[in-house]
Amino acid sequence: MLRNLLLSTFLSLKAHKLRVFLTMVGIIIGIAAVVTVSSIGEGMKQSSLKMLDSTGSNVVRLIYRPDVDEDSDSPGEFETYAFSKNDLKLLRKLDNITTISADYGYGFGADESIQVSLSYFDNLGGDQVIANPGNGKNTVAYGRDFIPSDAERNVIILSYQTMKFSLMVNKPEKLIGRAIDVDGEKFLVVGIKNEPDDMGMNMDPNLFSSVIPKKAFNNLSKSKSINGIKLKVAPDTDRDQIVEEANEKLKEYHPELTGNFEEDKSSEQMRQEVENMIQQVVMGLVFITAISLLVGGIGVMNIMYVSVSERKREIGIRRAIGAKPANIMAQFLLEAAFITLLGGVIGILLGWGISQLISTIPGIEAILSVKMTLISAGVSIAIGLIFGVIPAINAAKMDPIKAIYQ
Amino acid sequence: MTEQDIHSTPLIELTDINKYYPVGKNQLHVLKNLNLTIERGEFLMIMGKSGSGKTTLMNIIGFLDQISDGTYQFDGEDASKLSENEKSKLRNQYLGFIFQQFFLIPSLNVRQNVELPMVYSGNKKDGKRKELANHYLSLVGLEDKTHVKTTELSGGQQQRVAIARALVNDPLLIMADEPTGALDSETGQDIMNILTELNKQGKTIVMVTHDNDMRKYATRVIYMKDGLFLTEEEYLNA
Ligand SMILES: Nc1ncnc2c1ncn2[C@@H]1O[C@H](COP(=O)(O)OP(=O)(O)O)[C@@H](O)[C@H]1O
Ligand SMILES: [Mg+2]
Repeated sequence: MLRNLLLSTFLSLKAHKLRVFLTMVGIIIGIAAVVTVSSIGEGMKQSSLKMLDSTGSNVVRLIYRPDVDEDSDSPGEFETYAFSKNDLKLLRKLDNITTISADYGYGFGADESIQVSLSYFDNLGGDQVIANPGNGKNTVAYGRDFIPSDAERNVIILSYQTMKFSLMVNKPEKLIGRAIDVDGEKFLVVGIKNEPDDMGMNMDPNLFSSVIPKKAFNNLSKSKSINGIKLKVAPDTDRDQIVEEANEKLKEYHPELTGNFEEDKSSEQMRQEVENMIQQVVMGLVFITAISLLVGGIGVMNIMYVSVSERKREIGIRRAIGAKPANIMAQFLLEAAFITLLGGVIGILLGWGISQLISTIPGIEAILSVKMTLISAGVSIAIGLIFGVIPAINAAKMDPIKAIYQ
Repeated sequence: MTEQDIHSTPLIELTDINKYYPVGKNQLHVLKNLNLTIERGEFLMIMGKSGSGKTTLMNIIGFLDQISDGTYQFDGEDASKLSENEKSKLRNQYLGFIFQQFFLIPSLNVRQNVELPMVYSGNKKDGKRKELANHYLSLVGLEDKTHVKTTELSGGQQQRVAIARALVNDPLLIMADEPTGALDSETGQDIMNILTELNKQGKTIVMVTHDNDMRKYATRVIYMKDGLFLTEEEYLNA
């Protein structure tokens, strides 16, 4: 039955190729616009999140949260706790953790970082500094990257932002080869990182951090307290369970603590916020674009009315040989859905093409998700069904003899 | 019920039926207190000039139109209070329609047209449908036209496709409304030969015509004028 219905739908559409195509144009444009906007939006979202933390959701930042006693006499005083290197060693025994690093600051990403104060002549500022993560493969725009002999020296590759806004130097060349003050120690500036591009998108997750060699980093971090532990977990692991296990392990060794070790959700929250914000902007744009689909839908309704009135006799004949009203309705609904689905598929391809074209502009990335593709296809079918339903009901209700003898 | 009882029930039994059509504020009395019984195996010819009510009577028998009053028994069952779906099913299973203007569906090819009643009855697999369609097409001599567009066929060929379409669900009754009306006399003859052959094989046929020469094919003839049945003399003298 269905196969025959599909076949006869196909045949009756084939008989009116041009008209069917013209009807589809509205849907094609609407879907193409939605797909373009949403895939550019998705690309924007992905690269913003990538910038926020390259390691994405695979990093759990473990912190200590003191037990807040509501009846306490001195509510302002909380028990504080600084992690020790020994705590890091303890956690190494847990499963599903790929790397463990101490967190001296509150930085993004999975790499160990410390907050330091910098000065250059009269200009002072703070910065996040990390230990050379790329082992001599930093994205350096000015000066040079580390060389092996730097390992024992106090050298630094500054982030562009730090140079410009903390040290107030506008020309990178002026700073290369000069010494700056990092937490009271002299460091030689050997390189400056890339300037973040206009869209704030860049592949280097540590773009905003300055980099120093491992040994210098260790020296500086000695005087810092470890605020948290960053656990990089294997993909698809249950974060809550890891946190639970880590809490048990640490409390076993620190029975004196009344609080708990928990995940610091603040960067996760920030990530979520950014994600939501972009999502909302994109949804808003998609919604506006989707209005053009409404116009397309009305076109479909119009053509279905034409099709029904043109094929009155066919409807009457089908009824005379035994078609039930529901069969007639299904036939026209299917026809409408077929037109819009075909339009939708062409629209998806066109939208994909357009977004690929736009993404050749530097800094713009286009990502067409499977989800969006399926939603677009679903929306296309839905438009056909929604706008086809009234003409289809008209066809089904038609009196067979009036339809045949017109 | 015994076999004999079943066959003693007339296929169609119309009792005191009237049909009115509303025309403006008036009622047009199209069928006037008619009584008609059709037995199995008959080839009944309904003769009458244009406008006498023949098509209206056919449409009523064919569940396409309702009687205004009276009773209609189809195969012993009251047919006056059937739902749209039930009527569709009866048309599909028990009736085969043949129209003056053939009324094939132009977007479908010959075999697809013939398969259509089976598609709506939905009880046969694709292969079986094709096989039956081919069988009935060869019965009407169109075995070599199965994949042809219906618009490429002559009138006589189109009517033969319509006959095949009317036969595929093995109906109790074939209803032909002026089946030769749009054909030249020679082609009309071919169509009548097919219908007579079907009747000889046991099919019940009701046919409407205004052509007196067609009477020779029928097993019984009734005459109509202005919504009334007449005797042969009344009709021929009118
Ligand atoms: N749907 C209708 N509404 C009003 N009058 C109709 C309708 N159908 C048929 N008639 C009228 O009923 C009469 C009988 O028509 P019809 O049954 O088609 O006659 P025939 O088939 O013998 O030519 C005619 O006068 C015709 O105008
Ligand atoms: Mg007529």
